[in-house]
Amino acid sequence: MTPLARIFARYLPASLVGPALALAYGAMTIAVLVASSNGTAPIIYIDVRGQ
Amino acid sequence: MITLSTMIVLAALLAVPLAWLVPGPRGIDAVAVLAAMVLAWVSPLGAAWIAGFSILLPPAMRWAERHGGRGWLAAVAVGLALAVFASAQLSHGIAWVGGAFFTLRLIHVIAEWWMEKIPAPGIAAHLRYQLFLPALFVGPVHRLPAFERQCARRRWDWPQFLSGAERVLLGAVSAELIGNVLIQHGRANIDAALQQVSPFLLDWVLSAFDWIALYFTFAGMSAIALGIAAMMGIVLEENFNKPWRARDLLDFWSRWHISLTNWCRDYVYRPIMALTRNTAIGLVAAMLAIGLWHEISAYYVLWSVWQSLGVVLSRTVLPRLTVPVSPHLRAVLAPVAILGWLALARPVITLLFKAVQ
Repeated sequence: MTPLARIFARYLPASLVGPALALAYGAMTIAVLVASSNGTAPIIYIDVRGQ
Repeated sequence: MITLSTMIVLAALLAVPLAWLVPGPRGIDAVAVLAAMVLAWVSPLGAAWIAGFSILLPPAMRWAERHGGRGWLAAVAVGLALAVFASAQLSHGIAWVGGAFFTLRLIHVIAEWWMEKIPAPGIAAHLRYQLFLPALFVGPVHRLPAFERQCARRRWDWPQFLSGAERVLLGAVSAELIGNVLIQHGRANIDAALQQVSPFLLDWVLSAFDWIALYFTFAGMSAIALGIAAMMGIVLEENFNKPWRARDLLDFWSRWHISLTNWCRDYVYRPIMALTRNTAIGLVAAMLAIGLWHEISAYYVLWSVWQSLGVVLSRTVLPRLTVPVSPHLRAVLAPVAILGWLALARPVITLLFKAVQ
């Protein structure tokens, strides 16, 4: 069980854990794809220079 | 446009099936070969440096063991590593991936070997350690003995794989959505709303936003690295331990970028302490190492002095303040005070530069 699945299992009926996880993963993936289209601001800890 | 760092993260994700398809312990060797190819593509000079030094160092160590030149080799290798690191930092325009983290890992291997805590690694073992793709450009600064143990014990484990995949996704949300979009959006709004206040105060507030964004982006990127490593069956050292729960600045630095702080403790603070028996000198040297590792500049020298001052004040002046504060209030006030101090560095140093000019 993943950490997120454990949290969902604590608050949701067993039959809803799978769909809730799928929904959460899908929403997070879409959010990341939309957010990353803006381009990532370089931070000092990411050791990629002179790109 | 896809950034170089996104491309390397995607390459690290592609390396996950490779780590399992190549049988036995050679799976992580295959990841190192892929890392070398990615590096050679995006930064040929960096690839030549990292792979070349990783290949040449182990036989040189064995030669020094046989001929009694352990100290000389350690001094020359560390000097060379630092010189290349400094020249790469100071020369702009050269594509450079993973060089800063490589320097820390290299010094770790050399120092541990010089102190005879570890034997000279084999070339393959050293290459797979230095070229571990998930940790190549964002850390953590993992340690060779622990990494070798992880490689030896590695086996397929569904819960570990799925937890790693979930961590990658949560890390991406933290870095891309929260750090890169939401906090930046808030920062832009605050910037627009506070145009009437003094430039010093505005820079202080914006600097606080930058620290919060830095946390979400860096912790997110670290989570991606640790998650991909877990998908490969490797558990790496954690880099963050709830820094917002820190009681003071020293506690904060032991919770923020833990692998770098531990590196500075082992290879800067302790040797300086052993030589000088002076905590303050050891602290300033460790902070200077952290600052100059970020960037070799006058700004980061002053930044290091500022952070050292903060640590000293928080350990000498704060305990003498006898104002009664409830634990709950302290839990709220401490992170605000820490963020205030961290963020104050930029406007203060900018002011100093302006005063000097």
